Amino acid sequence: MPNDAFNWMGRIKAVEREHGAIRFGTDRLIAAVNNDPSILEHQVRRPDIGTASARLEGTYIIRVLSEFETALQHFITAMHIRKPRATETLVNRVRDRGHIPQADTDAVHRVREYRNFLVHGRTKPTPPVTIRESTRALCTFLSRVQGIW
Amino acid sequence: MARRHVAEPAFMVSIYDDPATAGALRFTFVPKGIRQARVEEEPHQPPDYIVSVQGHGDEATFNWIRPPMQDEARKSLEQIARQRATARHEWLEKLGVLVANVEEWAGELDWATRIVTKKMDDAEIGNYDAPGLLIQQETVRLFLEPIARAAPGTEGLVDLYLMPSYDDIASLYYYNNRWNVHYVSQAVPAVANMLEVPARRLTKATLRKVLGEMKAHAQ
Repeated sequence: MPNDAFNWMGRIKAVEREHGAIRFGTDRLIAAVNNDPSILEHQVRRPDIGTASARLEGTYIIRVLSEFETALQHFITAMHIRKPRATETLVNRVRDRGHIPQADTDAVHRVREYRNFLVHGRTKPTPPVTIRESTRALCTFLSRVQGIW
Repeated sequence: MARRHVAEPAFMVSIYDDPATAGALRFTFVPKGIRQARVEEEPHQPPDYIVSVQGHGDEATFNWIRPPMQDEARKSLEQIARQRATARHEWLEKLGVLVANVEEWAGELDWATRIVTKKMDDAEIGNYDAPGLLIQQETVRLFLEPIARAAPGTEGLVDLYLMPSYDDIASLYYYNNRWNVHYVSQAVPAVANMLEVPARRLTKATLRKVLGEMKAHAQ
C-alpha cells in the first residue's frame, strides 16, 4: 500500500487533470460562441466566458495548493509538530522535518507566492507559474517525505 | 467501444463491499424523487432496497436484505446489480491483466516494479481499490496509474507518469479489444488531448521504446 504522501501526490495530479478537462471544454465553448454567438441565449454572457477562461489556470493553481496545504497539515499532525498559522511556516517546518532540499522548498514557495498574488491581489510583482510547474513542484516536495510518511 | 449506460433512471444506486460477506458487493437502491419528499418526516430512514451480490454475469447470486414487495421490481433491480457487478469485474480484470503484463515485461527489461493500490470512485460501479504499478530503473521512476473505467471513445484509461514530478509520458486507452499506447517523445502539455496522438498497440516492444526514451529524456 502506498504511503500517505504518495496518495496526496495522486490527489494533486488529479486536480491538474481536472484543469485539463475544463480547459478543453472552455476552449471548445469559446470556439462555438465565436462561431455562433446566439447559442448563449441570455443565460451566460460572452465576457464572463472570456474572464473565466483567462482565470482558469489560476483558479486551479489555488486548488492544487489547497490540496497541498491539507496534505502538509496531515503530515504535521502525524509527526506531532506544532501547527503554524502561516503556510510559509508550514512548508518550512515540513522541510525541516523531512530534510528536504532548499531548491525543492523554493519551488513550492514560488507557487505559494503566486497563489497569494492571485488571491490577495498584491501589487508586488510575482512571477507566474503554470499549473504543470505548480504540480511538479508540490509533488516533488511531497515525495521527499515518502520515506517517513 | 462506447460507454455502456445502465438505463435505469428511477433509482439512486450506491455500491460498496459487503461488510458481512467477503467478496460480495452490497447494493442500495433509493427511489429518486421520493427521498426528497420524506426528508422532513424521516430524515434518517435507511435506503429502501438492499441486496448483497456474490459473483457477476450469469453466475451472480442475490441475497436480499431489504427486498421490494413486487417480484417484477426485484428482478429489475437484480438486473441493474448484475450489470454493474459485471462491469466492475470486467474492468478490474482488464486492469489486472494490464498490470501483470507490464510488470512482467518491465522485469524482463531490467526495471524494478512494485504493485500498489489506488482508491477509485466510480458512480456506476462504486468505490474500489485498483492496481497500479511503480516502475524504476536507477534514478528514473515511473507510475502506471489507473484513471478511469470509461470515457468517450475508450473502455479504460491508464496513464504513465514520470515520478515524482508527475510529468505526463503516455496514456493507455482500451479500445478495439486491446490496450493502445498514445505517446509522444517530447513533453506534452497537460491540456493536450492524448487521444489525438497516433496510437501503438501495447506490446513488450512498445513498452521498451517508451521506457528507453523516457530514461534518456530524464537523465
